[in-house]
This record gives sequence, structure tokens and C-alpha cells, in this order.
Amino acid sequence: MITGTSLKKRFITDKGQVVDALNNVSFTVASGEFYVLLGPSGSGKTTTLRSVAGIETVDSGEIQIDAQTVFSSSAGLNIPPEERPVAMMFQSYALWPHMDVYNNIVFPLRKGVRRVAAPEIERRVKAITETLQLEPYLRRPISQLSGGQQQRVALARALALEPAVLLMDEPLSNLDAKLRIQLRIEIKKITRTLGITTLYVTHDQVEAMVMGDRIAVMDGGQIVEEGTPEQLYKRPSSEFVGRFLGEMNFIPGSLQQMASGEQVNSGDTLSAQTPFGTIPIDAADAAGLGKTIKLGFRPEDVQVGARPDGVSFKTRVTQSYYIGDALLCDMMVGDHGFTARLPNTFHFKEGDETEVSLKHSDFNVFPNSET
Amino acid sequence: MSQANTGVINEAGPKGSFLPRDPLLSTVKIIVIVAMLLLAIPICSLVYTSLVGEDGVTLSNFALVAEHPQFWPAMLNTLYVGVGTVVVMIFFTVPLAWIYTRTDLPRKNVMLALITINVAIPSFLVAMGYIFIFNPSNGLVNEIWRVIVGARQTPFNVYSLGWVIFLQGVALSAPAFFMMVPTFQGIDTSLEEAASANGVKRWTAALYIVLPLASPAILAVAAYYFIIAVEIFDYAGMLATPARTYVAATLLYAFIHDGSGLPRYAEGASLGLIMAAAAMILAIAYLWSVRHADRYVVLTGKRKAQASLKLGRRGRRWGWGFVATYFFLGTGIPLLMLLWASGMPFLRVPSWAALQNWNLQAYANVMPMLPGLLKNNLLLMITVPTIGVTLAACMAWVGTRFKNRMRKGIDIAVMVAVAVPSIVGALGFLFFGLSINSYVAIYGTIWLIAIAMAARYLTWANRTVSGAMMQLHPEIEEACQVSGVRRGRSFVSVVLPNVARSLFISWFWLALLSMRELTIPIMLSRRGTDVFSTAIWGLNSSGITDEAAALSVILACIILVLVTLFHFTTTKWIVRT
Repeated sequence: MITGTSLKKRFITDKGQVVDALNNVSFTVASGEFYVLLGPSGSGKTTTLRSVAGIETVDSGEIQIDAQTVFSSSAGLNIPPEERPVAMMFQSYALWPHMDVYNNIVFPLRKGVRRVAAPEIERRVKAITETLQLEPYLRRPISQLSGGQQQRVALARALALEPAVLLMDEPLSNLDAKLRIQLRIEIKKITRTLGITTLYVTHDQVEAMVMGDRIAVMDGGQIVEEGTPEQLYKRPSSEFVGRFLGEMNFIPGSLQQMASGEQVNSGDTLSAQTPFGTIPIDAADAAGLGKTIKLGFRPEDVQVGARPDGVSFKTRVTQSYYIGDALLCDMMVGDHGFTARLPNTFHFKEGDETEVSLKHSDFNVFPNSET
Repeated sequence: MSQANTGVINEAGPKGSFLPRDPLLSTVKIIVIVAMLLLAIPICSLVYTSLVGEDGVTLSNFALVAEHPQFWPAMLNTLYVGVGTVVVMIFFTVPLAWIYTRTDLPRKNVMLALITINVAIPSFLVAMGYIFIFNPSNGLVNEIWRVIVGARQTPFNVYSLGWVIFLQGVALSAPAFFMMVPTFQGIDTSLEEAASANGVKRWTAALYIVLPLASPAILAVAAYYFIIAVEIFDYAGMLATPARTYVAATLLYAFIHDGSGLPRYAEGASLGLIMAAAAMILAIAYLWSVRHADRYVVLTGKRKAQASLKLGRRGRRWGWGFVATYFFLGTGIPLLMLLWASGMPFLRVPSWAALQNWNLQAYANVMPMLPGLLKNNLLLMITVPTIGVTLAACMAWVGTRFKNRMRKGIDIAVMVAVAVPSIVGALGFLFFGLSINSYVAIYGTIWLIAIAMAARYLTWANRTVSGAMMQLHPEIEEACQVSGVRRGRSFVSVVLPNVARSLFISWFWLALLSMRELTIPIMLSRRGTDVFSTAIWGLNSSGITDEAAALSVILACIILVLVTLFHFTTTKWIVRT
């Protein structure tokens, strides 16, 4: 388990600007959970990870790993990284270039703080190299390995320590696309089998969703939202998260009270006037938003043809792109444009007119902030 | 398990244990402190010696120096020598760097080897070789002139500042060449190609495009070598002192080793401090002037320029002619002269008859000296680089990888130490040796020379090793930390092996420098601690020129063997890794 409480870190740039690298970041990773920190560069995700590892120090806050406090500004405690029960994988792999595969794995076990007896070292090396299929390469110099193999060695080195938590800093970003997809699944499978608590940093939203049991989306040194991949994708609580995870279309809307006869669901006491028509809104979602709001929906939720449980409206296709598994269409309703992702069986061209529809539940309600 | 600790890195061991938590890291820190003490010793002992007199603190020593009749002339001469040296140096080094980087001159590896030899050959050997050619009483050229013209008056007098300037300029062109090459390599070839595509001749492009682009870097190199030129002792010591013409470095030597009378230590210390202060101001001015130097240079992604200028047959002849001339001026001619002079008790104009009289008597005469000299030189050759590189490696690591006060201390200590002239540093160690001699009998031993040399070369090794360490990705070390390896252990087992090449090169280069060093041993050696350089200096000063020449030839051979070894081992090393 990892807990970070009220982590703050601030630095001053050469020009004297104050930057909040971490602004009150709190999170909890449950035992055995795969927890992903997702965000654009400079959002503070790597700083958070490195602070847990101990190779960076936050200004204030508290970090616990498996009920052991490893950092506490109030208690003046800062356990050095080598004494924390962690292992870490780096973006650059950081394999020791002068050692072969075998020595990269056993060096920390022989010379580190967490050293173990020789028979135990051999047992671990055997187990881990079997799992990761590294046996044929044990005596190879690092420079003679491919990127994917180096990645596996880095993982083996980390896992051989049998750490309480595994920290990973964009470990797949240097690999080509195919290998990346393959290793995502492999890493996820191994960590699940070993039941290891994992904190994973990435800027790739697909990677985050494929791997994470839970995702924390970070921006500007803060965790903007936290949840399972499905929660975040289906019901993002902010426009930023909606835009960052996949594509999202936005249309303006103005709220008004709904006459009791029009209610579809019991909670819908409000409705929004939009370019697409009237959409019922759950009062709880719109609490405190004011009269004008923004509604967001995913391109793949757009359906051709009318439907009873949603809004249907006429649109004009302005552009269409065939991308293999789907047809992407830019569409206009009045002067509001949006993108639809349709099955590849459709063949719309520029200028075609058609009726499309969206379920009421496809819409997410956001405050009307210009971003 | 958890221990309450404060501070970023905690070094204290577990409660109840006297051992530090990370003994290797503690050792490194102690070594760094020793290194900083070594850098601080010369300046501190100079300050003490110059300021503290019998009646407390006094500035009278500085007044004595300023009133010395030779002080102001020496200062002016130093300036004159500095400027002149740089002008001569630019004349040789810019064409050499240009030929090497921007033309298709064949056999560039030979060119590189010749220039390396010019760096390695000791300055005092070159000076002595030229004494044999141009001294007014029996210099070869003067002798020939007398035979041909029949005049009493001789046209050349090697004992003059002009020759000091010329020879220093030739000598410094070689190291300056290595500093200049990256600049010329960095200029994008397409700039010249664009010129030729637009109908501009290649030679014109070189003159009007490459040279102006390189000029800020050329100026920076010139400024850097000006600081070096004003502190060199060897040439002025051998060529100007006999004419009673002094520069700052030789005046300092005269204060301490005045043939008549007692050494004037306090005045020497004051002059040393004045020199150090001037050098410091120059160094700061240099750093200030080069802070934007890279702004003017067009450096693009293309790291290595292809040979852009196709030299014709004539061009190649001219190119090699220039390189060969440079090599012969810097090394070839003086070494041949030494070889010639070592075979005869008095100098004779080369002729068939003279050659038949050439013999090995002088070599036989110096044989008894050899075991002692070899022992001392070998001792220096092993201890100086070992101490220097060990200290430098620890300093470089703390200096590049730690963010703390120690790092700032290192930065300042290195900057100050670099600016202190060799002879001033040596004087500082002389005072230090004298003052602790009643506790540790180190004065007059080879060990004091070794320590002073190690301290002198430390900053050079530090720069080389720091450069290599900065190339090492920080995650390499962070990977150690997060897998439970303590910092000290990761330094020894991960950082050092990965910078092994730079450690090796530094070690070898320091070994070579220790062989060619005259300034420090001449200030610190006493009877029994002579090394090759001081022995040659002594023989030459006493007029036993054939033996001086014989020893010089032996030393030159040793150095050539070392350079060759160095060349082959480093190439092998590069191929292997």
C-alpha cells in the first residue's frame, strides 16, 4: 500500500517564477492495486513517483509505504531511497551498461541494503528469468540487447528485489508501438500474478486505461480526478479529463426547470436547451453550475437514425475520413460542429444530410468555462 | 525499522553503532575534503608568509616587491610575452585546425600524432635545442653565418624575449589546436556548399564565412592561452634570465633562488600573491567574455563536417608543408640539435668530419645519474596520477551529482586553483613544507614534489572526469538507489566503471605531465630529489651542455615511448567499448 498525503513541492525558476510542481497531492494505492498517474508533461506525475521512491524530496506532506512512514515533513523524517521497500523502472531503463544481464539483476541483491544469501539470489534469478524468458540472454552485455529485451531486464531487476511496491516511470515510451502493446499486457499480467502494488506513470491515455485498476489524472501539480478507467471515460467530472481521455465533443446549453410531465427519469428535474434539442439533466449533476452549461459527448456515441431514449436531429456532413475500422465524420448542426465515429459500413460524403441521435445518458454536464 | 532522522541524506549509522551507515560515501567525502585542502594550501601559506612578519601583520613585503628595480620591467615584459605568444600561437593553430577539419588532406592521423608529440615534448628541451642553434657565442647558425659572411657580429641572439615569445607561441599552438578543432568541426559544411553553389570559390568561402564564424571561439582560445602564456616559466627561465631580463615567473624564481644571498621568501610570497590575483582577474574576465561565445557560432545537427575543401596536388603540398614546418619548428629541429650536441663535448657545425667524431661519451658520463633520476621520476609518474585521479574522481562525482554546500566549495576551490600559476603554487607548497617540517619531515623529499604536482594537475583531471560523469544518465545512479544500493557503493561499482576511460586517459596524461614538469621540481627539489628536468636544467646552467643534451635525448625517448603507448592503448580501449 502507498499513501501520499498533502504532498507539496515548489521551485523557483531561473527567471524567479514560482512553480508549484506538486500542489497538495493526496492519494492511496491499495495493496496489490495497479494505480496509474496520467497527465500531460509538467503535470507533476513523475515528481510524485520520484518522491515516493525518495530520489526527489517534497517540501511538505507525508508518504507511507506498507504502513511505514518513509517521509514526513512534520516529523522531519526522510528515509533515503535505498532503504525504502521499493523497486523502480525508468524511462531510460537505466541498466548498468558495464554489466551483463545476470549482473544487472544480482548486483542490488549482492551489494545493496536489501542483500540476500547466495542460494536465495539464485532462486530469484531463476524464477524471474523464467517468467520473463530471459534465460538465453543472462550472459549478454546490455549493449547487445534490443529495446524490448532491455525493458525485460529492467523489469527483472526490479522484481528480483521482491519489493513491497513497484514504481514505473513511463517504462514503455521508448519502444515501438507493437512492442509497447505487447509489453503492456505482459507487465499487467505479471504484476497481477505476483499481487504487487504498482504505481505507474504515463502520458499515454490508452496505456493508462489498459493497465490501470485506477487512474489519477494530474494537471498543474494536482490530481484532477481519480477513478476506474470506465468511470473516468464515461463520467469525467471535468472538461479537462474529458478531453484528455479520448475525444470529446462539446455543445453549449442553457438550463431550465422541467415541467413534471416531461421527466424521463425520476432525478431529471432540469432540462438543457441545446442546438440538438432539449436534453433532460439530473439535478445532482448540474448543482451549482449556473444557467449556461456545456455538454460533452463521445464521438462513438453518435448513432445514425432516430432513437426513443435520446435526442435525434438532422446534420450535414462537412468532411469524412475512412480510417479502416471506422468512419470519422465532421458534422454540423446550425453553426455547431462535432465529430462522429461511425461504423465503417457507412459511406457519407461531404454535403450529405442525415439524421443522427444520442442517448440522454451519453451527455456529460460541465460548467461553461472557456478553455 | 523506521528511524527518526533529519536531513536529506542521513549518514549516521543505526543507534549504538560507531560505523557510518555508508562507509564508502564517508570515505569519498573525506577524500574530497583532502582534495580541497590541497587546493587551499598554497594560497593560504602564501598569504601567511607574505602578510605575517616578525611584528605581526604587515604590508611591507608588498612595498618591497613594488620597489624592486626589476618588478615593473618584469610586469611589462610579462604582458609583452603574453600578447606576443598568443599572436604567434594564432598564426600556427588556426591554419592547423582549419586544415585538419575542413580539407581532405591525406594522412590526418599522422598529422594528429605529430601535434600530440608537440604537446608532450618538454618545453625546456625545445628551449635548449634552440640555444644550441642561436646562442650568440657558438650557436650553429651564428657559426655558419660567421664562416660565410666573416663578420664578428652575430645576427641571432636566442637570449631575448623575442625568442621566448616565438617558442612559447609554437609550443602552445599544439594544445590550442585540440581546443580549436571542435569549433571548426561544428560549423555546418552546407554553409560552404551554399557559397560554392552560389559561385563563390572555396578559398574565398573559407576566408569570409568559416573564419568569421569561428572568430569568437578563436578569441576565446586566445584569451585562455594568454593566461597560460603569462605564467610559463621554462622558456623565460632558460632564454631570458641569462640576459637579466625577467618576467613575473622568473623574477619569483630569482627571489627564492638568488645565487647570491639568502632566499627572500616573504617578498617571493607577496609577488606570488600579486601574480595569483592578476591571474584570477584574467580568469574571471575570460569567463565573463566567453559566457555568450556560443551565441555567434552556427552549430547545427551535423556534428562532423566532411572534408569540404578538395585540395589539389599543390594544395596538399602546401598543407603538408605547413604541418611539417610546424612540427620541425616545435620538435624536430630542437630534438635533432640535442641529438647532435649530445655526441660532442663542444658544439661543432655539422659536417662529415664532425659526424665522425660524434661519440657516446656524454651518455656514459650521465649513466651514474640515471638510476636516481629514473627512481624519482618513476615514483612521480606513479604517485602523481594516482593521487590526482583519485582525488579528481571523488571531487568530480560530488561536484556533478550532489546538490549541497560541498559542491559549491568544490566549484570555488577549483576556480581559484586553476588561476594560481604553477610557480606560485609550488612556492606555496615550499612554505607549507618548511612550516610543517619539524612535525613531518617532508621538505626536500620527493613526496612534497608529488603532492604539489598532484594538486596542480588535480583541476585538469577534475575537468576531464566531470565531463565524463555529466554524460552518464542520472537515472543510472537513481536505479542503484531505488534498488537498495547505497550511494558510496554505486559510485564505486557503477559510476567509476562507466567513466573508466576518462580515468585512464587522465591517469596517463598526468603521468606524462609529471615527466615533462620543470617548474614545480625546480622550486622544490633538493639534493637527492633531482628528476630529469632539474638535472638537465642544472647541467645546462653549469655549462656541461653535452651531458645536458644526452639526458635530454634520453628523456625525449622515454616520452616518445609513453606517447606511443598512450596512443595505442587508448585506440584499443575505444575500439573495445
